[in-house]
Amino acid sequence: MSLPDRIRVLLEEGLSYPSVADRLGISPGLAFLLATGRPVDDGTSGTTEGLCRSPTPSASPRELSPQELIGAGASVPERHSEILEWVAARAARELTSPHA
Amino acid sequence: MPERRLITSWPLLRQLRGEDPSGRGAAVRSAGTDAIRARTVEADRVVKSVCPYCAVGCAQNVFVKDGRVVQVEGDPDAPHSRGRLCPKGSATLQLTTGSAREQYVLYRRPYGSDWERLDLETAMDMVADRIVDSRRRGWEWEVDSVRTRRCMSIAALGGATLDNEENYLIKKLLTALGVIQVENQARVCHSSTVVGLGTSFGRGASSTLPADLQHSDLIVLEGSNMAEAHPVAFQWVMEAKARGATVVHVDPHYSRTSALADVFVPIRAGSDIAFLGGIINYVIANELDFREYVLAYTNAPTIVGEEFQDVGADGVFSGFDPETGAYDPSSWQYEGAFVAAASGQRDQEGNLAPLDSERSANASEGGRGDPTLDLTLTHPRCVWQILKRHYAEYTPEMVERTCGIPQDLFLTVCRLFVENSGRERTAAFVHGVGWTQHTIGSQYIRAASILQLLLGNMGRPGGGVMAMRGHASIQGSSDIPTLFDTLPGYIPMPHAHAHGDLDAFVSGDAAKRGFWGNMRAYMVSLLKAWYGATATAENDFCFDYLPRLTGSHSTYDTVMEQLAGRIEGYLLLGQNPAVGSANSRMQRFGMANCKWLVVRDFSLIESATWWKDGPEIASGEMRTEDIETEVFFFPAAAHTEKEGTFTNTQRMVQWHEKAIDPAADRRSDLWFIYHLGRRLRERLAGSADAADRPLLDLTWDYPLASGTNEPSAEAVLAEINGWNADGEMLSSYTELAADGSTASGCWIYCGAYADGVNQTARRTPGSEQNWTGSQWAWAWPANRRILYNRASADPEGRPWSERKALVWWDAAEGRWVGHDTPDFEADKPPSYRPPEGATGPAAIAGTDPFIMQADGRGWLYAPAGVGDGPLPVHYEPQDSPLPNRLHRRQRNPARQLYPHPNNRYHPDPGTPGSEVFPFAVTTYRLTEHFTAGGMSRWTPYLAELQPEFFCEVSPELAGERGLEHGGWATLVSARGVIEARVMVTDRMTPLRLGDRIVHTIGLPYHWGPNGYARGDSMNELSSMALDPSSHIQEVKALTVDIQPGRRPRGPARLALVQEYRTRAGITETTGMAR
Repeated sequence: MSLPDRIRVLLEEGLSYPSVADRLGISPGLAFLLATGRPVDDGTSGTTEGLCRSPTPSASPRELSPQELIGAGASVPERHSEILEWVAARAARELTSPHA
Repeated sequence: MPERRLITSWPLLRQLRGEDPSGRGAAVRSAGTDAIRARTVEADRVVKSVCPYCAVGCAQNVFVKDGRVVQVEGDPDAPHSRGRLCPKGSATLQLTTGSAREQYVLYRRPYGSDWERLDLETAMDMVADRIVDSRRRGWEWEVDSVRTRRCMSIAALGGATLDNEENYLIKKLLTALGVIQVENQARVCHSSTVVGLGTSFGRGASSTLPADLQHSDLIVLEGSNMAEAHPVAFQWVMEAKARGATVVHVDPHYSRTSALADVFVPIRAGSDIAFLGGIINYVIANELDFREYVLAYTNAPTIVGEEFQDVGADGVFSGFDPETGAYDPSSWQYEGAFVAAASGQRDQEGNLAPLDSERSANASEGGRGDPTLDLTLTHPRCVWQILKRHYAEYTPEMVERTCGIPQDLFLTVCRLFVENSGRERTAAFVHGVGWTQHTIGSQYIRAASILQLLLGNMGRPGGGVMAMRGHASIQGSSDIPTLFDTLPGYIPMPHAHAHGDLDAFVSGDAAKRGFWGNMRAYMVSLLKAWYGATATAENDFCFDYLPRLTGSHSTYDTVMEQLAGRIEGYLLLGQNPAVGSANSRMQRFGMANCKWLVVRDFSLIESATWWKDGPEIASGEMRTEDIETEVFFFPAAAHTEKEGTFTNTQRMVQWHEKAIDPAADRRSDLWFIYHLGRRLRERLAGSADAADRPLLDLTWDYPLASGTNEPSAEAVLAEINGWNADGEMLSSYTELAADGSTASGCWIYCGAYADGVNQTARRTPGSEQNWTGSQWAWAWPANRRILYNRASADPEGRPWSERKALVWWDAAEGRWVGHDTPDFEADKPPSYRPPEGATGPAAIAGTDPFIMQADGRGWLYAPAGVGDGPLPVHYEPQDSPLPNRLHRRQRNPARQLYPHPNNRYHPDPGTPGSEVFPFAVTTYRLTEHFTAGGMSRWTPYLAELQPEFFCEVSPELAGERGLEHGGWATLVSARGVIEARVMVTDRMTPLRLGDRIVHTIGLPYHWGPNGYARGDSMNELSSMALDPSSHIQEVKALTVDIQPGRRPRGPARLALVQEYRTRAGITETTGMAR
């Protein structure tokens, strides 16, 4: 019987993950991973069980981390006008439009 | 009442009255504990950053309070790292805030015995003065009447730990100065990958991302100890395993990767091509390839010219010149066609000679011809048949006697490959420098590439070749290269020709078909970025400003130039060759022959202090007071003290924000190179010397922040991205023009600043997108996460398998759609066939997934680009305990050798003296240390975890040599002698190869004599012997003797090496045979 199957059997018998791990000589985290296919801290990657042409399934909601509670950085960067102005000045000085 | 509170706070009362009857928890919680808050909660702000250690590029959150960094943790939003950090990443706080970092500029005057403090601005002025002086003395306009326009008296090394923006300005400035000897860690790490993958598929970078390994049915890790060298990325291997994938680890050394694998295959170091060739033979001989894929997407049907001769018993291909030790690859070409490589050796035709007229005709308009295909795969000169004949002798028996792998184990791996490839299943290779760091390293990668093409694993989910690179931005320092042989975006540096204009350069090197067909646009846009308005069509866009190469100018060639007294100045920018490069002794002697040396780093690494306390001082070979070399040490800013981008191993470009300003004299390398350039331009302003025009005409006016006048990294990134004449940021390299109307510092990064937004700073959490994580940061090219993904669909555009769907053709929408950005023109249908005479991208058919290749196909056979042959051949390493059992050519006949009294090679196996160095050595990383140790040996947490240099030996070898576990051992080669603690372990497997037992000693390579964790450098033992295409050294397989006890000190150390050389009969010609 494969290790994941042995884990599932023991879980169905009512053992906890630490007890299963103890019984099988592995770590509780590994027992959880092999049983569920997910890391124990429920990593945030939206992994897909199987690749197919249907739309990517959306991930399940997760709890906010403490870091988010104090305001982590935005996911969408802002435009910086000073950079764009600098670019515009250089383009005007250095490049010739093909339509000129 | 205070008395009442005092009584009720009494632990016993709390135990009796509260919810902690055991009295071990809340009842005994003190007021002091109550007052403690997590630093993450108390912080004023958090900035988004990236780990500065390896190339997994784990995302970090950096917490700042009261202007100080107080905590660094993993960012759980990151799709690739999911909040994890390994011990190194977890030690980032200590790395960046610890007391081991220097704060002030230090100066060693010529012949000085100690450091002095020096004002930062004065130091900058002094360095600028020395560059001006040395450059004048080392200036060269031509060689043998051929224009070179370069400075040969200054060299630079580093850096793969620097930001892309820093490497960009370093290359830009040094090239404008005419300095061509510019290198970084990429040379000594994964340069073979660039050649191997680039010639096979069109791009020399990892084809996939670690997170995609979760979709693999088989993962073969070879030349990699991923669990220990890239721990956070290894989580994806475990995910795959949890889903039922099989994991195989092939390695000379049993490690934590092996412990988590399903199958461990011990292999003799340096024999992987024989192993991979054996699998290739198994697939071909048993017709177990993915035939439809092979026919449609590889050059298997292509007919090769009749001049080509495969290796025979003499072990060389046609075109080999034993006098020069080099190949003329012209006989390897296709019949009736001339194709240029997308990577590797390019633009070397006619080096120092006029372009051959016949070759010019081949290279000119319409002269390249069309390859002829035989779809029956029966023509004797088609690639398929050549491949079949070439690998016919790589039998299981040959694998066993060459690699030491029992036949049944070898066949198990073969079956696993075949059973997990094809339409419905995919297999991935993961490799590291165990493959690249060989005198035949590029061909290791080629062999894996051939196998993946035969099995149809390229461009498919769970497939590909995952090259695990080692530094935070070593991918970036290859892409935007501080490397001698490329310009940004893998445009080759021009070689000296008699007709060295832009037209000749483009026509001589650019493929006519595929996206390299637009090389002129990429090149002109680069020159416009660098030279602005000065670069016009009338002056060839300042193409003539570029210095020219005349051969190899790698870091190892630079060392030879130093020893010859031709290098006056050397800039080390976050790299430590005194212990980190092969033959570290020669590195130090080289530096001792320089007039001046600049070292930028966090701490006083060995490359900064060799003149004071290096091994040659201890041995008496050098005396501090006799060493003229003037040394400037500049303390570098940490990644938390600057903003910019790192490019990780999956080509993902991540912006890291600045958390705090650097203190004291610490500055970013961006600041350093910008202000150095400013000073140089001021000093040479008004010069009438034509040699100074490139520097004076350089665009060098970036916005500066107030305070330290730090240049804007974001502005530099914008320049790298590029813009058009209307000042609009470009979104794609397809917008680049050859008429001077666009500027772009690196065409493959075009899109990183699309729409005027820093795409590399995007941080959409992994939970809100699919596994490719395409909304997190930005990946080149064009944010495609899995390269060649057109190959995940059949020629009609349907996924080969629904289980492995990645991108597919949506006829209704008239475009390619799917889970990833298509690595293909989005609206080009599968049915598209190029019209007669089509060039560039228009010549790529709707069925050609390898769009950078001249023929649109994956190359099983490489007609160009790889200097030692179109097909991988097993050769023994430079140092080997065994003769080559395949053919009479012992070693790679085209390898680069450096005869020198300090670089002697070992005798051929089986010859007198070979028994003096009977044991093999292989090297590897430890999780807790980082490369040459500059960022770990000074970090107490990491130094404490791995405090001492050690060697791993099998119980059998320990018994044979009287080595005791925990004791000391002395290891000797013809180059040097070191000592290490002994670890007796069955992790090292003695291998039986025929009648011989080969023992291998394992050596981690992180040590040097400085820092908290001190020890000898493994590179005292290694030699300079290089792969001819990548110029990488061989440090994964060498030979030594090992004896119990500590090594001698002082002059006796050298005497021991000399004694060994005498016993082995080593002369200046030993080991040099071609």
